[in-house]
This record gives sequence, C-alpha cells and structure tokens, in this order.
Amino acid sequence: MNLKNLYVKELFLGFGLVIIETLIAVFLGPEISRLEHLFQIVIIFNAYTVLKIWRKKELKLDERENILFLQSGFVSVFIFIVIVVSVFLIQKELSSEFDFSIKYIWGRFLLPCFLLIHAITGYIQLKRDEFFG
Amino acid sequence: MKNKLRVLRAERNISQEELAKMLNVSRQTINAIEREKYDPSLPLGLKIAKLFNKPVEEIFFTEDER
Repeated sequence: MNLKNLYVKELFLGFGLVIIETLIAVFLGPEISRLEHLFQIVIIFNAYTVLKIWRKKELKLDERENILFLQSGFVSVFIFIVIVVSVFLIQKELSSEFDFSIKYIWGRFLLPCFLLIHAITGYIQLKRDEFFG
Repeated sequence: MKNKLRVLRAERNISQEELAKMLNVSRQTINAIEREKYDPSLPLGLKIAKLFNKPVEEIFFTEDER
C-alpha cells in the first residue's frame, strides 16, 4: 500500500524536521536572524520537494490514493488552524509555565507540525476505511 | 454507480493483484471499485473496458439501468 508508506515517510520527515529545528533553536538561539530565515525557507522548500518526489516518482500514487491524500490534507488544514490559533491564544500561559517566549520559536515548528498532523490524519483515515469499508 | 468488475474478473480467473498490475493502480483501488465504494475516473474506466474487451456501459452502469 503506497499511501501507507507515504504517510510513514511523512511522519519520519516531520520528526526529522522537529529535531533539526530544535537543534537550530538550541545552537543559534531563539531569535531568528536573516540568514536563519533563509535556512528555514530552504528546509521547507526541500521538504516539499522530497514529498512531491515521493508522491509522484517513487510511490506513484494512483487516482484514488491521490484523492485520499488530498482529503486528509483538508482535514489536516482544519486541525492545524485550530492548533495554531489555540497556541496563539494560550502562548502567554505557556511562556510563563515553561520559561521561554513562545513567539520566537513557534514559527519554526509550523511545517513539521503540519507534516505530523497530515501523516497521522491520513493513517487514521486509511484505517477507518479498512474497518468500515 | 454499479459495476460488473468482480464478475468479469472471476470469469477470467484474474486476481485483484494481477488486475491492479495490469491497470497500474493499487490492489486497494480495485477492491474499492468492486465494492462500489469508489467510482473510477473516465480514463481508468476506459482502460478497464479495453482490458475486458467490452463497452464501458456494459461494465459500469447506474442503479436505474439495471
């Protein structure tokens, strides 16, 4: 099942980006410089390119799988927006709790967060299809 | 939309896996079409019709056409 493989790869890519972004945040500090902004854009662009290559060349999703992939994308966008708004609303409470300013770092984890949400949502959708047909 | 894919496949003694390979789609897609959970696109429908050497309307039809 190619779609399942894609979601697994997406999950690993998401976790990989979380690690990379955490390392950048730890070693370069919470403030983002212009150079770091450039690195961020390069990382995001590469992640999308990798996903596109996996989807089109390596895994060759068929028409039904492509539709399922897009459907899980719509659900993920909704969940993603809810999470982003929630984090934005409670950032003051989170900052005082963990002793860091969330406004400097939360932008770093947007892409990995979306990839993880998409992979998990897609996997749940696949399993739901298997059980309820 | 209804279809006779399962019957045609059984007549020719082809497995879902084999048919999926012939049509260049996944086995799950063939299964979904047979269970009428997914309506194939026109190109895939035409491919199926060509493979079984039958007109498309003989394989795929609506409920009221039965």
